[in-house]
Amino acid sequence: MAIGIQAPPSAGVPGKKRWAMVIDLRRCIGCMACVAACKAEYDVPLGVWRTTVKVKDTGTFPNTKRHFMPRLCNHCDNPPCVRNCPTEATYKHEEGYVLQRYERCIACRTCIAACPYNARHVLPGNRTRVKVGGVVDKCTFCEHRVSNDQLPACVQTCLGRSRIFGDLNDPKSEVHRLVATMGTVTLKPEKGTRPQVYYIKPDRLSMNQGDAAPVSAAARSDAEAFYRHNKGSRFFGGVL
Amino acid sequence: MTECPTLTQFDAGEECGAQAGLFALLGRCLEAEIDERLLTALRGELREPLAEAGVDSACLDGDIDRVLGDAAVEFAALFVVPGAASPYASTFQTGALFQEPADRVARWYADNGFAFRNAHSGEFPDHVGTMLAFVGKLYEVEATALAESRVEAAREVRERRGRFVVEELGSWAPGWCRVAAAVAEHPFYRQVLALTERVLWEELSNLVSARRLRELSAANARGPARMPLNPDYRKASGL
Amino acid sequence: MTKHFNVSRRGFLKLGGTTAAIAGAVGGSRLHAMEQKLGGEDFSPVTGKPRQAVPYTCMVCNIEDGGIAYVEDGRVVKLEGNPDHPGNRGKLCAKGNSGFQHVYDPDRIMTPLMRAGARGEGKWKRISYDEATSILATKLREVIQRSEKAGDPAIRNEIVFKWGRNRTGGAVHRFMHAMGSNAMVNHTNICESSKKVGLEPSWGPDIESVDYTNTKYVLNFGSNVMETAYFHNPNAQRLVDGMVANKAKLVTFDPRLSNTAGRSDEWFAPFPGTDGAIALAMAQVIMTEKLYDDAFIRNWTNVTPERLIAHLAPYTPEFAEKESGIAARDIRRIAREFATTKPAATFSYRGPCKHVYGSYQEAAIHMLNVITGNVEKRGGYCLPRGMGWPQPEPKPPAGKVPSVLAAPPLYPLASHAVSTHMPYMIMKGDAKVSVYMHYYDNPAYAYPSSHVWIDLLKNEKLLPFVVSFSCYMSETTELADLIIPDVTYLERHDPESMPSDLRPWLGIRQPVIKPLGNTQEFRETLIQVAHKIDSDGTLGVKKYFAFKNSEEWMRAHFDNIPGLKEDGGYDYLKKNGVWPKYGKVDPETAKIVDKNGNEVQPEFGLYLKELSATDMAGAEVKPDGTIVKNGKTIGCQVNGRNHVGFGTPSARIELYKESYKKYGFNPLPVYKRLPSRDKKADELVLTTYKVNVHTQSRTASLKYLAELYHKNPAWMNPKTAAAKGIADGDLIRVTSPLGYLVTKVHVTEGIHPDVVAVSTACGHSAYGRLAQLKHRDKDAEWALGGDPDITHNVWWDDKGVHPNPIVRLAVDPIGGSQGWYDTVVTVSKAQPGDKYGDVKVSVEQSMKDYEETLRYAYTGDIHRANHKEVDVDWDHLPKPQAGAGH
Repeated sequence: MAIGIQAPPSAGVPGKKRWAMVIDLRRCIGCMACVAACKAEYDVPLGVWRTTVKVKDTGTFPNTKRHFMPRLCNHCDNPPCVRNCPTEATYKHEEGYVLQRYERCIACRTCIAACPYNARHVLPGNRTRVKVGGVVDKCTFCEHRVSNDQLPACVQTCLGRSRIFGDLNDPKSEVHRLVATMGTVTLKPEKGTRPQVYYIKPDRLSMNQGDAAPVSAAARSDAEAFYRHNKGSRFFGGVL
Repeated sequence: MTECPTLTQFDAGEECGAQAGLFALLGRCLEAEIDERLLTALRGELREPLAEAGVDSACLDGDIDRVLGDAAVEFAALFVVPGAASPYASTFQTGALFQEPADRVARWYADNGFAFRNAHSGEFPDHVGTMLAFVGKLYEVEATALAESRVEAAREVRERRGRFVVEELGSWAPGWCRVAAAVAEHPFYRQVLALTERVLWEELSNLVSARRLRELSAANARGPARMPLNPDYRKASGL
Repeated sequence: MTKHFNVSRRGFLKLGGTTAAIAGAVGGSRLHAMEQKLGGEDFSPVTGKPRQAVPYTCMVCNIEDGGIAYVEDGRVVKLEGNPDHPGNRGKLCAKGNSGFQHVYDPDRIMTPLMRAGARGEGKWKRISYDEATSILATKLREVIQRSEKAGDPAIRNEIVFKWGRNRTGGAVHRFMHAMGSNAMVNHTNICESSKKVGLEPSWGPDIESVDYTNTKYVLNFGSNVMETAYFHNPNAQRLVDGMVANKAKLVTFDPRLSNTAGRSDEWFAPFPGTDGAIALAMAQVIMTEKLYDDAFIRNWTNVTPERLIAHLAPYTPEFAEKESGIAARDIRRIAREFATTKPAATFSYRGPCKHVYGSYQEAAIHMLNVITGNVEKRGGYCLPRGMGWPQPEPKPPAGKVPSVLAAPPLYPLASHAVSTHMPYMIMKGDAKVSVYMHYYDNPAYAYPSSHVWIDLLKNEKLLPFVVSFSCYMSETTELADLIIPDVTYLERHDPESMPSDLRPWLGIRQPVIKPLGNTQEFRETLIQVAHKIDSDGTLGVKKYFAFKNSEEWMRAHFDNIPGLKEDGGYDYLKKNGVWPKYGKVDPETAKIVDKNGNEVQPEFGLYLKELSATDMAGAEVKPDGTIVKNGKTIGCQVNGRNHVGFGTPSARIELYKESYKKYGFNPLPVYKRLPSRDKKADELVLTTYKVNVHTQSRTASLKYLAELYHKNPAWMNPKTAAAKGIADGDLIRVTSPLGYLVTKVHVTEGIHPDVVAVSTACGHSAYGRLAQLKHRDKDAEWALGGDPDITHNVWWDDKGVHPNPIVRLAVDPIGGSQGWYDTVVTVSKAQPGDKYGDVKVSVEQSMKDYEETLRYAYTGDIHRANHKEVDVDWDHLPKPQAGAGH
């Protein structure tokens, strides 16, 4: 595996892989299997998430609907986190992943501030199995599984087959076909980050509806408990 | 901190022998319930030395069945039943049973010619009592070596023992003793746990620098002063 | 460093020296001299080492999906779905992904415990499995010998076994029958027993299997397939495929916006308990507008279209609108859509059946599929397909005397028992209990009026000896006398099959690691107890347990099944986890395909299978077309052909149920207005529900799941809340005739204005601290053993309030289901002094509820008043007897 610091973006570059994910929002049922699988795969501690599923209700009774939006690091082709990292701890891999070298991270949180998607978090000092804490972490597109020809854990377990993963540059791959034919959208394209997680929109929903801040007292009280626990830090990627 | 006594009364070999006995006793008290054989010793020849060490065997006087019964209930409450002060290194270092610390400790035993065999289900090699007994065994080996004037071998065992105590017990066991003593209701166990804590700190202070000792103190004091979570959420059921 | 005792080092050494001198007197440690070199094993986990993959069947809930456990250095580190499993096709839900945490949980009971002190005091002594099984064997033998001496087989029924989940594939029945006892009680009446009793007399099996992948229309009554229900994982996968890939329409009727309702194309919120009215009205529309399948009704049911039209006449959409609040216009439209879209199916689970008269509601919904001819069609409403396994010989015969606990005489149609009634029956002396055993059960938490169970379990006169096989200290297990812990589902042997796909399969549970710390699985415990009760074989118990171990027992199940035998029998299952392998799962379509990429199709039209000449040899065709051989129905003749038909006495779908009529219930589906429908305007109906990351009660200790869902505020409609002056997040009191609880409110547009809904997933007892420390008020810093993740990173501080104490007991007199969604409550802002989590309930009132619900039973006065239309001799209904009708 080549560790290319600031490897050039590979989307559309022939001969290079560009791993990408398509999330079909018509299929997500909010079962949270992906969240649990990811936590189990990486011993992700409580209070931080590599992937989450946002939940939102819209409408008024009896015309109420529920929407789910899985969220994770977009492994952007123009990642602001990589650009801003003072120690080059976070770097761009030539196959498209944005990855982290824990030993270089100084937990300055610049990358967290730079990321428009709230995808990164600081690991707490205490974890169950893995002995890495206090540094910044995020989704890795399960690089260790993908390089062994396996699917990422969240994709493998997704009940609705809402998450689809593959090489965007391969014209025969499902992600390539879906991005080309389904009119997919990405999050916050105006930020210029060129995210590589593509969403297939469900009917009757605009993207920012699924991404809104928590409104109900129940959700807010969870958010407040979380902030209290983290002493007011707002830098997290959570379900809240 | 009391003065280190002069060792004129105990030569090195005798001291090792005594330490072996001490650790064996502490290990035995924590590893399993008191049985008649141990009770007899506790009430008999060990009564006076125990008292000098701060453990009053008076609470073990009386009808044998009642005493053993009460002690067994306390043992279960302290070390066995869910919600007790789990005596396994794995639980303290990872929060789960039988994890890497158990493997490490089992390797220690194997490298030194011992195997762990559980008597009850649910016993694992990283039980603090077993680990204390192991320290005692290493002391025994050292004592034997000294008695046979194999000074180099003795030094080597001493070094190994020191490493085991620091690496496998140092960062959690004294603190665990303190916590378990705080919730123990039976005076015998309370006192034995307090004694164990004292003994362990004594060992550690002879093995590491003052700075490292401070670090270990901090490690042993880890854990919130007040549990922020309500333990009831963990109460699964019907499984 | 502490100075607890002012002792000199010399003091220690004297102690040590004395101990050493009396060497050996204190007894040995667990350390023994190593007898042989441990064979070169590497003890430290080295990452990168390939993990061992062991197939198993999940049991975090009851869907029984196939999984693969990844074992590294002898430890389970990850669980994933079994890609060869036709049911879940390689996927596990959130619960399945988290299940491995059960294994190493430090709160797991790792050794048998014997009670010391009073019940529930939390004092235990550790004993060995050997001692524990001996104690249990002695207790059981006492009952058996007493029964023999008195010559009274009824005494055997003093041995009672209650389970919540029993996936032992026959082990519990074998054991209890070997004891000569019939007193086995399941949990099914708090689950979906009325659904089963709505279906079984009609077409045979107790559940439907909808071909979601190929359907075009799903009418969902009160089920929450995308989160729960049978079979959440496999069905949710297929439902999504149907909706997205096959453009099926999903219409849901549910008073609450579940995830399924929230993702439906149309959601309607009826008043609780009125689904039946809606279904009957739809049937009425379909029949009167001639949208029904005439041939199917005439050939395959025991009614005629004319009869149905006459019966359904009063159930107009306008009538249903009055009852349910759903617009008649919509009911009519949906009925027409359902009837004219092919293929179509209904699905229902707990919503309609967990009411008094829930069996009628299920029967009405079921009927919709029958009259539209969607039965056993591709994309339609199909029979469930499962596989069975033989029980090893010799098989013990059932006990000689029926048990009133297992088959309450007042509920002859409740073929899945009425477990809610157990404590009341025992308290009233209807049954005597000597040994009460329970497995995978937590009624002190999960049952309505749960406080009554706590009272019963604490009563040493009524339950002299209580044994739990649970490995977690639940609210129920902490009240036991003896705990003989089972292992977790990842460490035991069980046979498995579930109708989770239209292609049947056989699976197993097997130890993916050796049972942790030498704990012993339940099956082994049963073998040992049986042998100890009857060591010389004279009591006739031991011979039914002639297995050396669990594996041998499994072989007895599997090694001779035709087809599987040729593929390798039990060894095949050990290696692959599931049989047969129908094909590979196509990653893009999730269809099971053969090596050419073509879908391996399941069979449809099972009832149309024709009987062979051999089958027909010696059979008689009755005038009505039923084919009988050796006194048993084997099929029916339709249009000159001999078909297998359905599992009923006439081999047709018996929409008209003689069995119902016998006891004065209406043989055709009807709608009975419930008392809750007549609640006062400012009252609400309390419903409870399940969520996608939790099940029953055992998932509460899995940290990933608890993080996702740990509190259960009460859902309330904004208009209702505003009228009561309640704002989102307020503390509220929910009061039923049993008492009240104090919880928080969640104001949401996703709930009927007359309903308040509380999830049952959280709120483990506020008053029960972890078993042993509860009477110690000191805060132990590391009381739970320090999973550093849990110790430091738990960020939530709300664990919810459980609703069950205020839910009233009220059962369906037909199917026996507890009316979970019938409790009428008042909701108001909390009163001064109320604290979050307060619960105050009355046992006396619960006893009154029991008496009240008996009036609905077929011998009761309310039953008679509610069924005046049934043409039966009311003064000469069959007399209640234990075991009648079963």
